[in-house]
Amino acid sequence: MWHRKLLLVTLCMLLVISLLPVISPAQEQVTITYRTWEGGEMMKINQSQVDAFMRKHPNIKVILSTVPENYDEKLQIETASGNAPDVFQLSAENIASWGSRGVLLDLKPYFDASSDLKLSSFYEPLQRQYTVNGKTYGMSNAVEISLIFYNKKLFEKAGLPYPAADPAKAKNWLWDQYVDVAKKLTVVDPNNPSNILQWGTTTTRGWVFYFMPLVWSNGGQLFSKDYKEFLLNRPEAYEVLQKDADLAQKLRIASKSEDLQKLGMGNVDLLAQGKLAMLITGTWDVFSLSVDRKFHDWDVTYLPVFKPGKLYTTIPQSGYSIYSKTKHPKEAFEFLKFLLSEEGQLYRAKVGNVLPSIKSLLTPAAQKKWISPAIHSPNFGRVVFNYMRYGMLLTPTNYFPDNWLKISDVLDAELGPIWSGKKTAKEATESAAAKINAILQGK
Amino acid sequence: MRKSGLLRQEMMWGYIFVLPAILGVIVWTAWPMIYSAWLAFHKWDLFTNPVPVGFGNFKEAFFEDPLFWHSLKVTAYYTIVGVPLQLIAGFLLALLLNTKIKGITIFRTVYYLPSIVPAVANSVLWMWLLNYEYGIINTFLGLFGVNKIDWLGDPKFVLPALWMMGVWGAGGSMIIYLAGLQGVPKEFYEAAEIDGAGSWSKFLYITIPMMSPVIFFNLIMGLIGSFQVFTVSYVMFQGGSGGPENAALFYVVKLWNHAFRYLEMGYASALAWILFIIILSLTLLVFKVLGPQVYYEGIK
Amino acid sequence: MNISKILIIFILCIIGFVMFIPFLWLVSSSLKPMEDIWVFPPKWIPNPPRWDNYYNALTYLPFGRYILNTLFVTFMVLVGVLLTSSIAGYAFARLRFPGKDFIFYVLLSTMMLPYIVTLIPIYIMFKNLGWLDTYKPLIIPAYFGGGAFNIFLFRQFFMGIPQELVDSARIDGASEPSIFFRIIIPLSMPVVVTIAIFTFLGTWNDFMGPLLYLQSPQKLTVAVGLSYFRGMYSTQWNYLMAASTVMIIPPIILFLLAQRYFVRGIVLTGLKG
Repeated sequence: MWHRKLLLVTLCMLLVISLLPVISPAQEQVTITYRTWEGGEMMKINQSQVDAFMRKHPNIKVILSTVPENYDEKLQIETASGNAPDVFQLSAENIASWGSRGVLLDLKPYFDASSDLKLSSFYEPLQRQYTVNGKTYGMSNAVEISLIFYNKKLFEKAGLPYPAADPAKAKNWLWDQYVDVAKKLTVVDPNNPSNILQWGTTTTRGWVFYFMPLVWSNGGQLFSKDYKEFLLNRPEAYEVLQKDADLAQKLRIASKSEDLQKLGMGNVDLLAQGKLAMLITGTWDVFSLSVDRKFHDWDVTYLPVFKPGKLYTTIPQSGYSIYSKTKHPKEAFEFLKFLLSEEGQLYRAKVGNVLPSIKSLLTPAAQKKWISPAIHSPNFGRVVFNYMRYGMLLTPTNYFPDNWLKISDVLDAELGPIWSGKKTAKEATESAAAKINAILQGK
Repeated sequence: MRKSGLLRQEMMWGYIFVLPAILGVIVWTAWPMIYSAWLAFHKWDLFTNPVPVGFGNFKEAFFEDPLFWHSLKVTAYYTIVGVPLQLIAGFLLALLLNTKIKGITIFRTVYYLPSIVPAVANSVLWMWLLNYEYGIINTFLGLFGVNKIDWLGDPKFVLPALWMMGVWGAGGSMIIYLAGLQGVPKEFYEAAEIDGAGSWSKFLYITIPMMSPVIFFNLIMGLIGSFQVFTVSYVMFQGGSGGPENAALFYVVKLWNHAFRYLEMGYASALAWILFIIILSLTLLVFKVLGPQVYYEGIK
Repeated sequence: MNISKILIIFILCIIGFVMFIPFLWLVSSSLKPMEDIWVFPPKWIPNPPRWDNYYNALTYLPFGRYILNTLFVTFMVLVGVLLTSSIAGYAFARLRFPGKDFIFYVLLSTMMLPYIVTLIPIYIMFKNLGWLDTYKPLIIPAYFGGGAFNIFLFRQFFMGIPQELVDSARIDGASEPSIFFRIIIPLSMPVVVTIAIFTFLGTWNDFMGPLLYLQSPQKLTVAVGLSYFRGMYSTQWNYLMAASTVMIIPPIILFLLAQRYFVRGIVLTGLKG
């Protein structure tokens, strides 16, 4: 009989031992992996952010891996092979197409259950952009808006007043006035008229995030409300594109040279070196100017409008998602929440790379928490807080639909001849419409 | 008896020597290739299960996708001009660097530098050189009264710019030619000189035939590589954009767009296999037509 | 010295200057402060040169570690490639066996499928083998033939070696391996060195392989390390260029040393006639 008892005791002990890890998860350390594309100056900032989180959550270990180049390919290959990191950066363009394929964790229930950070804590357009058919596949930690950077010294030299920081005035800053200012700021070599010494204005020509606010201000649209028709071939839209192209092609007040800009340089350097007065770009260039170039004589203003009162801007941005097959969704969300919290967002916003996405930091009262004279310009807070109220998403679906990347590639290729002066905007948008409508209507 | 023993020996060692390579194909290459061939008949978005579509992908490529023909044309054009240009440039540089002078090792190293410098640094440098307003090339051409050229912005000049970059980076084929030139016996030239041959006929009747195996090699590799040209467009034109008006939308750039931008790996696989067939046919054709013209000193 | 030689030196210098520009530019950028990198028009001589860019770039990340890692991988690959591609090239060039041409074309055809569509199955294969985050995916395949490019190149050179040399050795009773190592290889140093240079450079600069298969920061290679200078919104070009300059030193040294073997390999005297 006694050996039966022994067997029973042994079995019980085995059971207890095997259950130990299950019944005592609090003592167990969980490891989650975290992937970003932010190299350079951001690597150390990201690591300190991770360290701060781990100090608060000693039971969660976060391993940061950085992939500044070929990020999408690596992540896609890993995801396709069932091996993705738990938390990763993902561009807004991928959210819907990845989410609808079941790769991303729906964060809605987690946000709903969370006591401190809700979906409603974020800048409103982002809530719409990250929610696809009622499911939230990520959230942005960082917003950009498109606006104008200008070189203050060049305005002083030309005897021109600075562009307005007051949104009420900006609403009436018409395109023609903007062109007029740009003309006055253009300096031509007296000995050689083809040599422009100083440009009035420029941008990354053909960039959809740049020209859409102008198109909207003229009553134009990119797509119809049902996302079935491409509308840039309407006069109120293509006229804007034509006028914009004429700046470089006919008026010669905007630089044609974009090749260096493609590597994230060029235009910013022209501005810092006093060879360019106004540059339409995104808020990320705060860092390029203040930190990289140590240039501080700049400020920001709103884009001009075609019709009075029609002030708009675009909000390109990216965010974080969680892998749907993560083994530790709770811990991953805990970490994501930290990245998105006020504390987490300040790491980035302070450096001048981005604007925060959380509402509590986007008020004039909160600006001293992240806006500093060493990095930001005097009007920065005022312009940005006001301008963000006019931020619009590009597609009527709010999120970027599956076929967006294809459409955006066709758009770039088809509109190219406008900026090089080979086709009129009318011709180019007509030809783009044929191809894009075919994609929109599913062939 | 002894002869056939030798032959058997030779055969045995032949198989032993190629065994690692054959195993490599079986272990590393076969399955991924078969897998991608299988995918070519499916729609696959990388994340959900592949859906069989029969010949749908091929039909789409040939009849419905205008960029398929466009990218094929751009690639063929790039190859037809670029490969001979690189062949000739590499050969001429190698001849130049085969001269017996002091410090030739330094010259050779300098000529090889463009191939050593990391691609990022190279591409940024070329952006500088080709810049419309401030680039050295436009400044230089300006000295001769040539108008500024928008190398990377004007579709007409995109391929010429890339050919230029190709010639400048011909260091790889140059080294192979240089190695080949070391195998041309001095005695051949001496004998020819005794017969009163000039430098041109020495070049034509000794150098060219003796170098033909190497020229042939560079031609084949140039073809295979050039049809798959990708990196130069990818770095110079930010990802898969293909440059202004798709002037540098090479076949593999388009393929990459489908694979990693549009999540159409099935279609990308079909495109890959179409290209495979094209390259294979061309290679076999070159082997058939030019192969017999190649002179091998050891095989007579 | 005759006129034609002077002319050649003149041409060599002119083209050499063009070829030298990237290097000059690399070094010049590596010595500038960040705000001077993109000055229009470019300044070629940094004033004053910022030598501490080198210190900052190389201490920014554990580059010493990366260099050792890369040297290890490169050396291991080099051995595998030289060993297995040379013997295969020899078999294709000089040995007769049934199916030779077919095998050769199959090998060559492995280069004709764009690598993009095989990335995922290869990744899955290495994952199933448990090789991710090790150097095995980068090294071990090199021991299986060393790539069709190298095999083909060896074949082309080996086919130029006079048959008489091989035949006389065979009649003397030498085995194929000893013919290969004692006769063929010593006569083929230029091509051996060429392939060594290509393989070294290819592995040294390889980005996609280490990027995909390695994970741990301490295991990374130099090429991947270089990409870390690229930020989201700005790139530390001066550091990137400083690290790039350091990175090209080993290949340059190898190339300078290797040229000692760039000599005429075949001595025909006594064989012909």
